[in-house]
Amino acid sequence: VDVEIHTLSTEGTLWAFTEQLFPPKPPYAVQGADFRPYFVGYVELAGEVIVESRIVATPGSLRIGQPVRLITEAFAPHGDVVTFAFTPDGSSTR
Amino acid sequence: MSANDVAIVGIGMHPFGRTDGVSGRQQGAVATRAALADAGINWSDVQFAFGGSDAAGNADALVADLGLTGVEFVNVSNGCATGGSALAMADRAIRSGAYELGVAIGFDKHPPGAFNALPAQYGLGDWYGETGMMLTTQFFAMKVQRYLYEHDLHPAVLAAIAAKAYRNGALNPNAWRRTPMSMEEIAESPMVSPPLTKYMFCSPAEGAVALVLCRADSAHRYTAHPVLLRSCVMRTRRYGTFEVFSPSLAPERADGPTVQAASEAFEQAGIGSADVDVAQIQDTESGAELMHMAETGLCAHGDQEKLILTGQTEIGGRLPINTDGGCLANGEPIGASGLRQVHENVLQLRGVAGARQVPGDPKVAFTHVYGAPGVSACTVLST
Repeated sequence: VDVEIHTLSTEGTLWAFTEQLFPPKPPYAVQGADFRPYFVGYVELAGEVIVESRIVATPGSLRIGQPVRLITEAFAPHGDVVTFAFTPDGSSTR
Repeated sequence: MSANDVAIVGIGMHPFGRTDGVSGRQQGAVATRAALADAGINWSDVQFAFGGSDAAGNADALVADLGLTGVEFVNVSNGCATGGSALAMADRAIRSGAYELGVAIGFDKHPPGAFNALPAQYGLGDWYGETGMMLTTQFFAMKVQRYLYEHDLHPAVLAAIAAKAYRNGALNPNAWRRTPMSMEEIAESPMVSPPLTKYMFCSPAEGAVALVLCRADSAHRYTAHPVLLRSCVMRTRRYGTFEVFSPSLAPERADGPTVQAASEAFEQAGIGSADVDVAQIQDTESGAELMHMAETGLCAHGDQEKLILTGQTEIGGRLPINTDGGCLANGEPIGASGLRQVHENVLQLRGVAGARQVPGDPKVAFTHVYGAPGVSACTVLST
C-alpha cells in the first residue's frame, strides 16, 4: 500500500460534541479530586478527516458547524500532560 | 422450509439485574436447565454449544455444572454482540447439516459502574484513554447529537424512548428496572453526556439466557410451538462508518454494520421489514433505539419522532419495539443481552408474553444487537 505523509489543516468545523461530566476510570490521566468536566468532539477538517479531540470551551458556547482551530492543552493538574485540542475561533488559548 | 432450516424449541432465562451471591456461571446454568426442560431434553442430548460471557469467566466452564458429556463447546467473545454471535454460530452449525440439536448460551455478571474498556484491546494507543476519550457514553452522546441535528428531530424523543422502556419493564417479571418513570423525571435526571441523562442509559448488569435450537424438520419432537430462525446475520464495520472508539472518521460517510446485517437478514429470510410485528433492537441508551429504528429498515430516517410520540412503538402500537423493556430496563449483561432479545421474541411469537403480549397474534419478529467497535447481529424469526 502506498502511504504518504499529509499535513492536516489546523482549522476545521465542529461536527459533533459532548461534555464528560463524570470522572473516567484509569487510564485517564486525571484521577480523584482533580477531575474537572471537559468537552470532547469531532472536528471536520474539510476534505481530509473528521478527528476526535478534546474541545476547550466554556459551557453552553458550542454548536455544530462552528469554526474551531488547533491548540495544545495541558489538562492534567500539574501541567505535565499535554495533548492536542481544538477551541472555537476567536477564543484565547490557555 | 428447506431441509436444514433452524428452529428454536427451548428457551430459558435467569432474571436480569443484580443477584448477589449467585455467580454469572450459576445464572448460566439456571438458564440452560430451564431451556433444556422447555425443550424436554437432557444436557446429554445436546450435540454442541456456543456460549459467551464477557466478565464472568469462560462460558464452557458451564460443563462443570451441566455435565461432562464431551459436548463440543465453543466460547464466543464479540463485545455487546456476543449473544447474537453465539446464536449466529449455532445457526450455522445446524444449517450446514453438521448437527441437529444444540444450544446457544450467554451469561454475565459485571461490576457496577460504566464499562471500562482498555485502548489496547481495541487496537488503540494508550493516549486515547489517557486523554479521556475511551468512553462509550461519549460516543453515543455525540452520535445521537449529530443524528438529531441531521434529521431535525426533537431531543424529547430520547426521554420518550426511555419512558417506554421502563413502562414495559414494569410488565416483565425478569426485568431489572420495573418502576415506570415519567419523561420529565428521565429528562431531569443527572446529565451524563449531553444530550443523554442518567436514565437514558442502560447499566452493566447480570443475567443469563439459553436457547435450544434444532433442525426445523424435527422441531415438533420437542415442542408444539417451534419458532423458526429464518435468518441470523452478523456484520462488522466498513470504511466510513461512525463507530464507538474512533479517533478519526473518514470524511465520506458510509452505512454502519447494522444496515448491512439487517438488510441481509431480511433478504435471507425472504421477509420484508414492513412485515415485522414485534422488534427488539439495541437500546444501550435512548439514542441507540432511535437511530437503530431506521438503520434496521423498520422506518425511514426522520420518521422516528412521529412514530414514538404517537405511541406506534408501544406494545399496542403498529411497530412494538423492546417489549421486554430492552437494555434500558434489563441492564446489559454483555454475554446474554442479544439472546434476551430472541427469548422475548419467542415468548411473543408463542403468544405467552403475559401482560406485555403484543396483541393480534404476531407472526414475524426481529432482533438487532450492536457492539464495539462496530459489529451488529440481526435475526428474523417467524411462527
